[in-house]
Amino acid sequence: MMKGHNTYLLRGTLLAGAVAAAIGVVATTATASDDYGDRARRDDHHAARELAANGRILPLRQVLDMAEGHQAGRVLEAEFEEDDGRYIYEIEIVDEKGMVWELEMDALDGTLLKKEH
Amino acid sequence: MNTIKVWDPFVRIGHWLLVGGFLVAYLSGDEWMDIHVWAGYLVFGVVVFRIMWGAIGPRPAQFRSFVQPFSAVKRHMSDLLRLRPRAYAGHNPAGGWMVVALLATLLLVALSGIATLGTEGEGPLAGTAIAAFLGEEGWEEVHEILTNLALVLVAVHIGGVVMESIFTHENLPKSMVTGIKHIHTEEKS
Repeated sequence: MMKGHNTYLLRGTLLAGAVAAAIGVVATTATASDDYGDRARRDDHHAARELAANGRILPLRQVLDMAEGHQAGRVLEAEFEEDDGRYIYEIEIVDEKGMVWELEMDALDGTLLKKEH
Repeated sequence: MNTIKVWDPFVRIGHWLLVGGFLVAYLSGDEWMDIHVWAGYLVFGVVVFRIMWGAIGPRPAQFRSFVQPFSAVKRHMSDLLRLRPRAYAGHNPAGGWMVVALLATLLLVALSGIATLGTEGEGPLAGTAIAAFLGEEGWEEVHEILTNLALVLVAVHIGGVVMESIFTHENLPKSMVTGIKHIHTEEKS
């Protein structure tokens, strides 16, 4: 069928190599350059479970109680994060006026690090 | 009975890489993100390669050799209904369009997957307007709908291959491994 079997072999190999290289570069540089926070998030619940099991971070329940001491209202969302080697609980609370507060609490000792709306 | 070499190695390897990549990506779905993403990139790469190969590859791999007008598809379908399909060296007219449909769908599946990845702050679309356009849930929804469409197409594709294999006494999955098809003498009716 083919004119110059080897021409196509070379052409296909080059094309395959080029496509693979292009996608490899795009995929890996983008992953490496992203600021890592979200990549870590996917493994966060594993990390959180492990750390909690080792007694190194406060259990979520306890942190929620502390958070409600800082801001009355209903808890909307709670998230565990590792940020620059720091373990943080990020908690969203909506007050009776409907205002959403975002609290960041140190997961190790429960210190309030940030409160904003 | 003559044999002809229809499928070049790139078409064949690409085909089975797609099968494997899609299967792995589908099964690793929500569970195993790293593997899912790499299988997705593999599928993406093969599809991109195949589209370009369809322009610069050998004749049977070229889109213009197997994408035929819809009248040919209609004729093929009516042949099929009368249980007398003719044999084609490359794809039959319906099969040709299936190739196009599968490649297009898989391309969109991969792109929507990359967009979903972008909404999570990863991959080439991280932090772009494209990622923000539909958001994480939106892109995930699109990704899943397209995946289901791809599954339907795969099912129809396999059904078509089985049917044509039976009618033409040609083991088509085997052809996609060896690259060889047989020319049966009874083909001319």
